[in-house]
Amino acid sequence: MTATTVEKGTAAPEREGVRVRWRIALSFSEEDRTRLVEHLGPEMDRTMYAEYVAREYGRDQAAWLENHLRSAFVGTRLVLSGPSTAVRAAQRDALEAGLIGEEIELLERPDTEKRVYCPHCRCTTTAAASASMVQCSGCRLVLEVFEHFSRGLSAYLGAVAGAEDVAARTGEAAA
Amino acid sequence: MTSEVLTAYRRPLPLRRGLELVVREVRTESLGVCSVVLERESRGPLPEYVPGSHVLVECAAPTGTTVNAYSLTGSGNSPVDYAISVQFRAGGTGGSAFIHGLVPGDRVQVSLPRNGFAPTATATHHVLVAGGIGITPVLSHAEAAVRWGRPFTVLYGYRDGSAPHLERMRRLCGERLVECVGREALARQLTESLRRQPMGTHLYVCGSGSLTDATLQTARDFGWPEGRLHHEVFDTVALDPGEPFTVRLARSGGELPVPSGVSLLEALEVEGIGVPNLCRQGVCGECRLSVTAGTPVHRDSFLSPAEKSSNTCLMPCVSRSEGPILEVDL
Repeated sequence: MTATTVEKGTAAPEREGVRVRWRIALSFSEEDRTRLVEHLGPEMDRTMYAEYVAREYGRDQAAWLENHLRSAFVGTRLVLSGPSTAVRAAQRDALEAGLIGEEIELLERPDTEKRVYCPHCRCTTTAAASASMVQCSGCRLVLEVFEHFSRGLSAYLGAVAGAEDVAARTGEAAA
Repeated sequence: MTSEVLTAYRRPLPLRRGLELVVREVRTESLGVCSVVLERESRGPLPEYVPGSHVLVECAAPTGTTVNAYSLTGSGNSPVDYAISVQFRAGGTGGSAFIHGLVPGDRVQVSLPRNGFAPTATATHHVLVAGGIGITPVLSHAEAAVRWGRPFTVLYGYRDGSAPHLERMRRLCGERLVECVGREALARQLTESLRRQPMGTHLYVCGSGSLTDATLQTARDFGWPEGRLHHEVFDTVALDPGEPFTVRLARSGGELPVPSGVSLLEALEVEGIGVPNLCRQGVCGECRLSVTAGTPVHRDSFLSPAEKSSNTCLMPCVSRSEGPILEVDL
């Protein structure tokens, strides 16, 4: 973990017509950080307020993010660089902390894994990116994974496998 | 320029679907500002509204009937009356004179409450900036914020001796009210306040065009993104007359001049092209037109920043053209 805190924000440099005074950055590997540095260019040194290179997005990272966002002032942007699952989970927490879409820069890369939300028990299960079926980590039901991605939950929607067939059959019976 | 002589007045839909209310009380708030309290004849409950809402009021002026938008000054929670505060304008279209001439018992046709200036539900703090009569929607926001325990600060800029609702604001807000006498004091306070606001704060400003512009620019200079900025302008009198330009009608193929000092809406009406409209001050959103070529100069407070920068629409009641020709979908 590398976290740095520097006195910044006295000047507001302009970038694509938008002024940014401070940045908080979270990347998920050294390669992700390299992409971040390339993306920000000279802005990196000028605006970076706090930075964290993490391996995952877990409880510690969420706490680090929340602490920094809570003490931040308007004029701060959040930059997230890494695999979609981690980046989207951090984005969801940032939005919940009061950030708006415009304040979050995403440097996403495709993921080898995806999160699947179970509407039955409301647990989230991590599965292979290519998986079309997954067993829920909460209620152990087998879920079919849909294309529907929830930004609020940062997960794909699961549904009990075969439930749609049942619904279709009962629909026919009723008709 | 009176458009009323060109097009016979027909009560617009939002007013037909609105309410006929009775004036219960008229009182002077400050120099040139009066408040009017409206209620149902039955004194029954009125529809609730979101803080920062306005109603369209049908005003009978000597030159014809005009429809003006006025902010409601209550919290919007279980209202039994609608209160508006109106500044008298000598050079206006007669709307403010009509309101100032009302007496208890008069009947007034108003629309249902409409809103383009609502508080953001996800905000962690609200900074409310008001200039003069721009206090009216801010008062509504403050009433609701106190009621629901939402954190907020009000910066109220006024000229000495002319501050509508000042006593009510002081009682309501206490420490949360920062008073600034004069434009310079307000500018200093804005710089001080907008420099360090906690993440999650949203800014709301209502006042003259120049006050609103200055406030938003200060915020942008401190890195505030557009999504945190909310404004409402009620001061069309102060809009500069603008450069003349030509409007081209994409569908019918005609071209007509829009002289300086005449709005695009008025220029179209002169040629008998009626565009449905209500407030004629860039607030209500009724007269929106699609732009097919050219770049508009947006002066309304209705369109979102994204819509404005898309160059695909404009509000012809206040907005004009950047270049010599603007083409609209008419």
